[in-house]
Amino acid sequence: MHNVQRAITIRNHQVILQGELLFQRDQSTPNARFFSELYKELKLTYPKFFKMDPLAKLGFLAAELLLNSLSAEEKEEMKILLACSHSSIESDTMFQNTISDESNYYPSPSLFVYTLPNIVIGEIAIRHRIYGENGLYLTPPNNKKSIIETLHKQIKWEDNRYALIGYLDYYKNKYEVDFYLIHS
Amino acid sequence: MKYNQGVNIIADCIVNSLGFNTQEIFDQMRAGKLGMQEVKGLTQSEPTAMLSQIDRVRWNQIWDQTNTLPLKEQFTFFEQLMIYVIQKVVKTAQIDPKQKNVLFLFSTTKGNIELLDSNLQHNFDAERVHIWESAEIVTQYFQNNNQPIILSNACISGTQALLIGKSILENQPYEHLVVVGADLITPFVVAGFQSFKALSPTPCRPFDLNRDGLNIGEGAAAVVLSKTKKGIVSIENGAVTNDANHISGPSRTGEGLYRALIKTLKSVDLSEISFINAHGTATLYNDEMESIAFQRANLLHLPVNSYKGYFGHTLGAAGLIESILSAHALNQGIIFPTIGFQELGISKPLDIVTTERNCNKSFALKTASGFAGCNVVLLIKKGGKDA
Repeated sequence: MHNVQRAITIRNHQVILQGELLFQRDQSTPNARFFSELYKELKLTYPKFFKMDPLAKLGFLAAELLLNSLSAEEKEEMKILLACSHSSIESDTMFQNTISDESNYYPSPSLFVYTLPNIVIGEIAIRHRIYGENGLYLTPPNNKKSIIETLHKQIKWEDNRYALIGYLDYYKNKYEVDFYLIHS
Repeated sequence: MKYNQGVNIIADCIVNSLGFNTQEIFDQMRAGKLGMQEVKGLTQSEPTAMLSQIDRVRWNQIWDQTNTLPLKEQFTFFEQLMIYVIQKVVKTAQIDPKQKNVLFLFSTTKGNIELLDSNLQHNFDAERVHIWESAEIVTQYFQNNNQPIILSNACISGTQALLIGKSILENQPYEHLVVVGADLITPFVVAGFQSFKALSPTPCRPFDLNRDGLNIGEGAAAVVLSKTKKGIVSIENGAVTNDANHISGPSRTGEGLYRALIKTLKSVDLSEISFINAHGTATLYNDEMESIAFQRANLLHLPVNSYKGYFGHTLGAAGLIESILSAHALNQGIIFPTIGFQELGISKPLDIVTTERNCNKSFALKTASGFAGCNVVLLIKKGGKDA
């Protein structure tokens, strides 16, 4: 891919930024704890993080590492185009569980909002004050590479200075994220 | 780069609570018909809900009478709707969906979400809840071998899909794009919106002083976008933005929508715009946000309407359904009224259309906003461009 300024991958409890291992935890660490420990490692003070669902936490953390060198002006009109496979299935399942059982019925708005996969984009946009184009695409897991290239092609079509593109997924306790910062 | 080519809507079909093709729905709207009715016992949150449902009895009759359709039991209702509208539009457009230069683009928020409900009896594989699975099943039914593009960007999905479709046609070697949008009424989404206290118990009243929430609707729509054939309208311009403000509440300054309007309107003479078909969900905050954004963009002189009072908020499909209806209205020189609206209930003096008007200007704007702070504006032009 052309014009990639920075790249980050998080999977198997390893954070790899620009090809270098930045942070890791033992494979046995629960995902939620891994995310919290990475948050602490980054010395963040953003209480909203703890309200997010796993998909949003994952995207939020990756974006944090990718965008921390950019100025407010550079971020303002950025595009955020992300793809994922299993949508918001983790939160979908949790929300379904709150309405399936007549004797234990407790749907909540704070959970329902995360049953949209593009909420992760909203969380990143709020954190970094990004007002540009945004879109969440769905794709089969075996089409991961190709969708990133499709999103990349879309970026080149317009002369926007910076774009965040990539793939993230959270399904059955397995997660992964591959984000790229593109500069035109 | 071939930016000067026109991208035209050359065929369309809608199914929702008002009918089973675009013309029927258009006629029902002109006759002032509403698609919503009180439904009992869908969720435990409320005894009843005011919903705009597709008539299942008539749906089954139509399916059974159409001999070109496949065995119904092989497909979920969500997939059946998509197959039906796609079959209609490829026939009208006279294109062969098997061709390599045809690409499918889907837009939905929840797809087959009802398959997650363990209380629901069905014979479908659990994997079918994943939207890509459903989209591939539909694509394969039409024997199209291109990897479909699927957009799930909350309630702006359907409108945004048209913009993405334009961009793909202008930059990639496809000749026709089949853009599809669909979303269903399920206990899942109804309980969710009930938990937000966002639903009105009566037919909704966009922009009205006494508005008290939205009505959930369901529907499916498809269009064929073409860069070689002339259509009823062309997709001229548009923009997608984010409020960068709140994940479930609209911006109090209308920031994202304002920015999308400014970007879109650079290329057009405001005096040539016939109307704005707004999102107009009839929630307190959405409609107020839109009025602020329209004022900031100096659009207070333009007629504004919302179709939510006719057939509710059809979620991810809303933007596509409402864009199609706006395209036909623009083409026929009419502006639909905002059903449900009586007295101005927003802080900015918008020109809310109350009875059908005639207008022969060339352009119309479609806007939508959604959870995660996303906004979209689409500019369409009457008559389509010469290809």
